[in-house]
Amino acid sequence: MSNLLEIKNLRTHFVKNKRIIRAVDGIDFQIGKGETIALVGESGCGKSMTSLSIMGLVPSPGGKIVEGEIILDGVNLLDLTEKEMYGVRGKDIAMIFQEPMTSLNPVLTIGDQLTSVIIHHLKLSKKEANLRAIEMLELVGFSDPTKMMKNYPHRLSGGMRQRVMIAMAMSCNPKLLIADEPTTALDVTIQAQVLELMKELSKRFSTSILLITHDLGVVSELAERVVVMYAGQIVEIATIEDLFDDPLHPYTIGLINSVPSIEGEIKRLQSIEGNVPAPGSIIQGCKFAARCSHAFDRCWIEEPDLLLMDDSRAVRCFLYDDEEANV
Amino acid sequence: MASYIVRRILYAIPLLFLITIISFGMMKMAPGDPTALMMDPMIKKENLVAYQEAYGLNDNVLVQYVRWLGNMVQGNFGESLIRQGVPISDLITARLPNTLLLMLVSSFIAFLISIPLGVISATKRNSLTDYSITFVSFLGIATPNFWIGLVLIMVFSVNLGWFPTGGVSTLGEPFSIWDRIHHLILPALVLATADMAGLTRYSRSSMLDVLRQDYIRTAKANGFKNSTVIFKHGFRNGLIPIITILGLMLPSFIGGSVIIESIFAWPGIGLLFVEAAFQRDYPVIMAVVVIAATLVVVGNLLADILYAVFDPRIEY
Ligand SMILES: Nc1ncnc2c1ncn2[C@@H]1O[C@H](COP(=O)(O)OP(=O)(O)O)[C@@H](O)[C@H]1O
Ligand SMILES: [Mg+2]
Repeated sequence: MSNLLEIKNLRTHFVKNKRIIRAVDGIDFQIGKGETIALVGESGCGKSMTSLSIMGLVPSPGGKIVEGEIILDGVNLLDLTEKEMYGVRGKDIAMIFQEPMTSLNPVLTIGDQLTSVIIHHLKLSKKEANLRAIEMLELVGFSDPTKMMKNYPHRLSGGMRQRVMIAMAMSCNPKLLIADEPTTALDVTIQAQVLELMKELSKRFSTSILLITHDLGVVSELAERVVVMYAGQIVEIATIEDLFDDPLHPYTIGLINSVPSIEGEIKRLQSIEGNVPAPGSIIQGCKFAARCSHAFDRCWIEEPDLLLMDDSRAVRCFLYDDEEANV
Repeated sequence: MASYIVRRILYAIPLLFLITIISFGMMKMAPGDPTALMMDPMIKKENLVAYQEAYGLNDNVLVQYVRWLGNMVQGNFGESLIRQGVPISDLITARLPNTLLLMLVSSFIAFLISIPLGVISATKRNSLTDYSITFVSFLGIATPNFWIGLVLIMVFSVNLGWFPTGGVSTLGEPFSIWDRIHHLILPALVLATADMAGLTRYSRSSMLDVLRQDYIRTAKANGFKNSTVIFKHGFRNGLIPIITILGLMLPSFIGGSVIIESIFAWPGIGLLFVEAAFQRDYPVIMAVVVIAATLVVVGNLLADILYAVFDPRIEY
């Protein structure tokens, strides 16, 4: 499988009160063409900043990509001008967000919002764009798309709005769809429908998906590979089978053992002892050591590298470092 | 929409009633009655009583109120006590257009300058431009606008002689648009400054609030360029709370016009009010208060209707 997106040593920092917050602290991963990858981790570990970095939408002033490459189809997005990025966002890479209730513009009709994106990227006439928008609304499951075009967002439920967001995101045939916690704010029954829809559309249009979530249930539903993040770094990469059958990193094990709440709303998984490090704190050694039941002396002194186990597997933990294997 | 407008108008009616009652009540509570002003103090007691009878001043208060209200609804505000024999409605029709013109032009100036400044300030948040606009706004809020008026008259009328010091037109000259505009510029500008600073601050915060919203992020994620994001997706939303301000600004505009009309000898109802107040011309005061209050109510009504036009979430 050839790679659609390659992220190399990406670092996105915030400066707040003269302190540097390493929101994304040197991450590397790839997304294959048509592949669905999940990015998991507790709240605050840098998942959203990773996705906004890819979009070139890191909040500024304050946030900045300080290092790395984001290569989409051979082009480093960080080399593009802002003007060139206008043509990438919404076209090559589309994004849907956690908050469907507030992500649509309240004063514009659904039709306006869809057609303006279509006209912007596909350069269609108003009439053609209308047809395309109606087609997209039908595709995401609206039975009366023509009527839906004239609706304002406030008349729709959260699930319906997220469908509109998906229709909008998919309307220009993106190569990559980034979904940042797309179902977190939805009812459980609606969650399943939205996930099903994303799965179906990605298969149909062979769109790659970067699915961001803290809910491992969602991961098993959709993803082929999983990237686990902690404190701005990747701590484990594994295929979905490996991840659930044989998780390596103590943090991953903690995530899997923790039972997500029934409502699926609780932002932080409770069963791992302790908290994520405070943003901007400086930690010596492994960032997870303070919460890790396997931590030994080396963990407090040195920071482990991301160890490549095999082609599809990597873990950042001294437990798997060969030098330590015989300790 | 039509039924919404009708409903809003119906809501306004009791409010107007209340205003007439308060206005009438206050004048009744003021010491003395009109005859005290109209008559020679040496007049005989019986004659005075006869006058009071003739003017209906000894009738039941309620009867007097209903009579006053009834006449007013028909456009009859009575006669001025000072300028005897002059119907108040004539005074009002001569003065009101001047005031409306002044208010319209100055609110236009205020909006035309403040809203863009607020938007620029918000989009260039924490920049030198933003700080400068903020600094000037606070200076504007802190400066009484009669003082600005006096300074402008000093500089531009007295010293430089660019503008007339007051009035609506040059006396004794035939009507000319340019002459009217020439007279209008300074007072309109000064009246505008009363709300400009606040309006700039308000537009800034409204726009800042909008630019933080998730749908702005969506618009950016869709690849729209910055100006499209700000104007197409942001501005319309930012305008909605500003419309409310339009309604709220009217009372201060009317209050301001009382002062500005006095400074610039602008023959509007504000100046009429000041003259009447100094002369204890009660019926004129009452008429102006009722008209000013009606303007405020109508202004709010218009703001509400505009609000409903701009914000699809308003159900009517
Ligand atoms: N606007 C911001 N200013 C300063 N720090 C921020 C900002 N946004 C995010 N961060 C920091 O970046 C880190 C990662 O945040 P985020 O990517 O949103 O986490 P996640 O999506 O995994 O919950 C957090 O520690 C947070 O404190
Ligand atoms: Mg997030």
